Amino acid sequence: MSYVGIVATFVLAQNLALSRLLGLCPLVAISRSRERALAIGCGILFVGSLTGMATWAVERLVLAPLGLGSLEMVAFMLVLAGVSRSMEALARATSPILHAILAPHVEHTMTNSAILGVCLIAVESGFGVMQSFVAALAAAGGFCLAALILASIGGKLELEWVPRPLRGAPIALVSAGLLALAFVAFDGMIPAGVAG
Amino acid sequence: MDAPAVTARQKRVSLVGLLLGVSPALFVATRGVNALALGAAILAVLALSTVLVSLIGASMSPRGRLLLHIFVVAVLVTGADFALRALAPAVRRELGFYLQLSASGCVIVGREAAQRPARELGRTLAQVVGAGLGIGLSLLGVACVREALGYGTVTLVPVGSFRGVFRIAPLARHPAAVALQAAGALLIAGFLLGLARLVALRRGKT
Repeated sequence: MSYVGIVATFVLAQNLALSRLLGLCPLVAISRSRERALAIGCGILFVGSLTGMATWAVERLVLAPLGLGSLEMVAFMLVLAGVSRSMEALARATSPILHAILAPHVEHTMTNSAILGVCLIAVESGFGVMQSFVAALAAAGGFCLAALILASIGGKLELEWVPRPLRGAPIALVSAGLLALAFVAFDGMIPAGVAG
Repeated sequence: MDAPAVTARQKRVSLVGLLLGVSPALFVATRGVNALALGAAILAVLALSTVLVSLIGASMSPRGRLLLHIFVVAVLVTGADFALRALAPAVRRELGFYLQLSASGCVIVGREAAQRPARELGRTLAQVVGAGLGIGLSLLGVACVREALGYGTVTLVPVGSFRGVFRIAPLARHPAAVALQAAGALLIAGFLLGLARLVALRRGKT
């Protein structure tokens, strides 16, 4: 698959949060704050892109040669936790601003199923190291996009009348469902040549 | 706001949080039998991981315990995946790697419980089992509605000569494919949650 195809697929057509419900918990939790959505999105962008490359290396250099492919989930979760903590430590040592953005959300990223999902998809699709990196970056970008749109919808909904039983999480879920329906349209818009 | 109202609200929010925590499982809960398998696996992983982390990580720092919890959950989910491959290969094929991805949800749901001291193990275990049952029942509810709308059937566990499939003829003639997509899962979960709240409001619980 071409790099353009990977980006188009993971940002729009197969947005992991909206088409596979990966990493949905923080998305709905931050449904009213665009700033928090951006902060979590940045964290997932940094951690996800590095984890994409790290898991590729672990899969190709350790698990596959030793025939331990069935343990990839254990390895990937530990890699993700390690990358998250390392990024937090690096940010603390080098940039107080970056640390202030990343630190409150480090536990969201440590076990984020969207990052784990894109790593597993990259392995299943036989992606190379750069393709894995771009796929993780695109998946994180798609997560940011979905988070920002949902936060904007949540902000607007605060000003509108919503039936009492649907207030809060139910309307956030329904909004996410309608947004997911809208994103289904992108699936047919990406030319087969680009998507590979 | 009086104290019982706060408690009821917290309980409701936590159920939403539990379901969202295992959102990858929500995506593949398109049949009742899938939801049963997912619910059983998540319940077993939550309970066993709580016991193991409480016993092994008693003298660890909170950060060390969190890493141990992630490792234990990942190992247990991989074990559950192997068990499902052996016991119900057809269900495993439908679930794909989403059962394994539910591991992240098990960490989120059980994170707070895994940090408690071993002397509170009994009470912690009871809470975690309750959470696991809540997740399983919620998944089953969403899956049955999705399957009924999307296929016109409700598939549970076969017993003896009964194949475990209930057919709903009017829905089978006009299936709504959107119910089987991610969007359908979100819409159905949102409306079911709203319905549960409406019932609670009518009973004067809020």
